[in-house]
Amino acid sequence: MTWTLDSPLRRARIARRAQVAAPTRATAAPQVTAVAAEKKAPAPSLRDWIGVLAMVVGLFMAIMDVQIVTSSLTQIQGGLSASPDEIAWVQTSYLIADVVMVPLSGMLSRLLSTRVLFVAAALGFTASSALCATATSLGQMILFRAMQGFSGGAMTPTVFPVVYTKFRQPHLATIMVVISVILNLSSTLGPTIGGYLTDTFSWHWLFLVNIVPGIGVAIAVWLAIDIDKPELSLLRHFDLCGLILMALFLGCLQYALEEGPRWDWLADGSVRAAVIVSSIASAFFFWRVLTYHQPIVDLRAFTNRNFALGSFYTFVVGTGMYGTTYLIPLFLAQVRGFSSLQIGETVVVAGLAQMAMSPFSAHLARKMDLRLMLSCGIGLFAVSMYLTAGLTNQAGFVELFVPQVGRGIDDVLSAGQSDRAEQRATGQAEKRRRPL
Amino acid sequence: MPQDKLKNAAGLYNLTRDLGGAIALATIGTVMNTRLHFHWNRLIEDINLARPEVQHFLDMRTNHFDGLIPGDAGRAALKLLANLVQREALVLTYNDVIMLIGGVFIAALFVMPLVRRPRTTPVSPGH
Repeated sequence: MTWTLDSPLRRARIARRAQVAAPTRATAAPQVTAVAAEKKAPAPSLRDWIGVLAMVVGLFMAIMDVQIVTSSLTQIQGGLSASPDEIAWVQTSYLIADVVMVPLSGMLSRLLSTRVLFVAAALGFTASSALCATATSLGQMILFRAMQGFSGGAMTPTVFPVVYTKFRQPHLATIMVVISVILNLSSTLGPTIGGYLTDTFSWHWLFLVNIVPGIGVAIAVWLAIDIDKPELSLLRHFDLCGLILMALFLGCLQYALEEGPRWDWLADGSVRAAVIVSSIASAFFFWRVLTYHQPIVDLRAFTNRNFALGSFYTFVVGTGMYGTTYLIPLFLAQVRGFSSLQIGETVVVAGLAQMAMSPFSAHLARKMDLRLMLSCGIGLFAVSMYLTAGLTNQAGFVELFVPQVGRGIDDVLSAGQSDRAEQRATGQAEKRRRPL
Repeated sequence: MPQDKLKNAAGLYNLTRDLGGAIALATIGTVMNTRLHFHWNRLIEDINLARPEVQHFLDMRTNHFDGLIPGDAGRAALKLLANLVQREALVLTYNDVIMLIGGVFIAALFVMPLVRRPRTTPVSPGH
């Protein structure tokens, strides 16, 4: 008697059962999906680890090579018979190329695929490093350093999308902390390693050391990383105009920031010119990327509040990180007259503290509110700055030890956290957009 | 779709850090120049031959250098004094700049309440 299915009694019973079932299902649902999500996202395979770690080695070389020449500029200057003012270009050309390439890398990795872009960049980096070692004139050196900067700039940001595709919690927290420690270590140790290589061998080895790891990285990444396909169709509406504007804007900005303090800013003709070109280009650049349908970089990412604030903190942490990496060695050299090896021994404390702290930090990152963690890191940094500010002309290893340990610990806490908070915000933005 | 947003965001994020570094170094360089100038001027106000301590210091060093080095021992002593003042001015300048960086970090803490609570469950972009 199928019609009885519709009887009021039966309907009531079904409704009641549904009512009983509903709350249970509602509470059970998150657990079920969480379990399912965990099952769907298996631990990254050995191949993923190898691929990402190879990329991290590339990252290490790219960041280290910004700083590696700083302690050896005098020797390079002698080798290329350049003047002291000109030799600064060995550093500046790398930085200008790097800062233009970094934002462009997003578009390029879509166009060519992450794998092709990274491998091309690693090979380009290796080749230009080899060329730097063979440079016989300043002009050649500047050109090869710029090529090196372009390749380095393409490698740095490309790591992050790979990590976010291949890694899930808790592995994600681990790998992000590893990456931020490597980033900090490479900029801290760059001048020391550079000074050591130049003292022991010659300045050519600053560049020659990149060759073997560079080739290794390229091979490993080619074999292990394959997360997306090239979208060559992007080439059709490629915004060359936006690219030129961006290169002028960021390149001239970098030049002005690099040369400004030495030449008293606008009092110097070339700095003044760079500031003017940069300001005009920036106005057109912003107009272009906000109106063009396929912009060279998508600034609308900043409309996500946590991404914008995350970037703000990255900016602040970058200030402290680069600032102290620059200041403390300079203090030791100018006031104490330390050699580059002695300086290295002193600043390595911060690096060791970072390494010692990283497993703990990765663990905390899974448990603690990221905002609290970032606040602790930033607060600790301020305290260690306060402690460092009591420097005297005798301050050396011992006096800098405590503040530097504090700084190292905090770098891990805050750098790791702002990285992650931001990446998460990005992740959320994606999630929200996905249904559209 | 999410992949390209992620790539774009990674580029922007690295750019902010690099620009943060570049702006920091430029600011530090400029602040150091002005503060060094300031501290140097303040320190040399007290360094004049009218003060017996200064005269004593120079005499001692002149005697010390006399016979030890060829040339004008008085000039060498003066040079030594100048180097000392320069070094102390540098120390004071470094301390100023380090305090400034600390101050920037403290100021950054005040923006923290604006950050929304990140989700505790990991989100998985890129699917």
